[in-house]
Amino acid sequence: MAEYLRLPGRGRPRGLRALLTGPSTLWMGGDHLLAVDSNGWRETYRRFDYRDIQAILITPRSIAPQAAALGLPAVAVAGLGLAMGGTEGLFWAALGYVPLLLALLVQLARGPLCICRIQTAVQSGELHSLNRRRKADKALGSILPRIESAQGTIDPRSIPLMESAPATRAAAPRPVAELHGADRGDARPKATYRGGRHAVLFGLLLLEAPLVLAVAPGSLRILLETPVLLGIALAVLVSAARHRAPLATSLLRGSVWAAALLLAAKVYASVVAMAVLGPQPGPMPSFWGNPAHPLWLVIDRIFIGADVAVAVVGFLALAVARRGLQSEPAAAGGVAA
Amino acid sequence: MSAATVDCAACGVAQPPPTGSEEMACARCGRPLHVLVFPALWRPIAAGLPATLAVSPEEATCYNHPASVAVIPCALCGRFLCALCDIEFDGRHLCPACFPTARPSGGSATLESERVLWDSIALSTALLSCILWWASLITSFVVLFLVVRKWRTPLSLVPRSRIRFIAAAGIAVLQLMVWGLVLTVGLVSLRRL
Repeated sequence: MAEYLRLPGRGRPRGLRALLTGPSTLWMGGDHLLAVDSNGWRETYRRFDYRDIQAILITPRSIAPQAAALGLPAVAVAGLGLAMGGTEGLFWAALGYVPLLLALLVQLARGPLCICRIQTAVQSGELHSLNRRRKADKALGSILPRIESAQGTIDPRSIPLMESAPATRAAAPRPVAELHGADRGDARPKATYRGGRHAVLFGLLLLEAPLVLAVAPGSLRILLETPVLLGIALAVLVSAARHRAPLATSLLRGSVWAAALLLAAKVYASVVAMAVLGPQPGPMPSFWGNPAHPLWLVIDRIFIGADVAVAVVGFLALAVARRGLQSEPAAAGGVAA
Repeated sequence: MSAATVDCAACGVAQPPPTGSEEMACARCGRPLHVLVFPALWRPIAAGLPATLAVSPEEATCYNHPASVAVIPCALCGRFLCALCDIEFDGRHLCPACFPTARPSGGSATLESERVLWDSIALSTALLSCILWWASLITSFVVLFLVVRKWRTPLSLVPRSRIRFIAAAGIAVLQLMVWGLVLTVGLVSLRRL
């Protein structure tokens, strides 16, 4: 039996096929790469000889469908539980919200998604196990030396000579910015993403702070706060999905993460505190606890401070990223707004 | 697949030829592509040797093509093969008839494209019978049969322990012990009555 070395990464095919198949893995053999796809009871193998690998392509994949599938039910369950009121409602809200939120955070923490495709002269297939960019980079770090030792390296001077050999030579490559919107019957090039979604996110965070300060806790406040919280949740999800945009500097990425954690902490703290303090009597339940209780004042101030801090840092990060975008328009152009 | 082009990882559309490893954008879907290319992209695909027609009756001819000169015998059946029929695989020269049969029985795992994971099947059956407990009197025997029968069968091509077989056998033995206890208690109760 050939000796195989396991490469990082474990993934499933995209779409509904993921429900029917088991995890795929990638193994490094002496002279070939082995992709193992499994349905749990049967494994199928695809081999890629190091000498025959022509290209490996990686493209980012949006995390939005996964994030929406986990995040929106989490917010809905939390809202439903709060609307039900009472200890039972809060219990069900926490029971539904926390696992979904944890799953969402785990998904986001595992890093950006990607599609990795490998190409030989006779086949081109997706490597399902390399579906995260970090894992893909790590695995490629192990694979590339093997391919280079089998094929050698490319001398840039010899590429024009090699390109002139094939009869079916295609057009010369075009720059990234030029390729956006080209060949799709779309004469107008797409605008470069300049951080609009991020600006909405940090704007909502700033908007929430005066709401908390100005309006006393109770039914009116929940009516005003709910759309803001939902807006922040959506903006966080969309921003998280766009982490791979050229705008995503480390500071900006950190701000989006902080916003996600802040929102999660806010909803969770509300659920827990409500369970401790109990619902308020009256025709319409007070969803955010007893306004006279000092604990609520402290929680409010903490959240206001965190809101303002994240929003300000986020706007600063956005400004820095946009300045970088203006100075290097060709390199930064990538994600359409 | 045309020469010196790469396909988009997302939409699969052929892209303009890259000038080495680079960042580019798909011409169709616009997604950014991180492209790593290797010299094999520009390597011409080797054409097969043409079969040479036999010129005299003394020359050995191909089993499949009597008009063509034989160049080598099949490593498995010994039939003479022309250059057209010769399939080189794993250092051996095989005829088209022997090539498919060489896959499972030839002792070479190089061409195997799939394997059944009997250990996973045994473990799944054992676990399922924990839920469908009334079926476990039969399934435990099935599981033990699978474990004994398939113990020496090669599992995966990649390293894989037999822990699933051991777990399945353990569960099956436990189920049989429970069934034995239940039946013994039942029989003793019947005798007392």
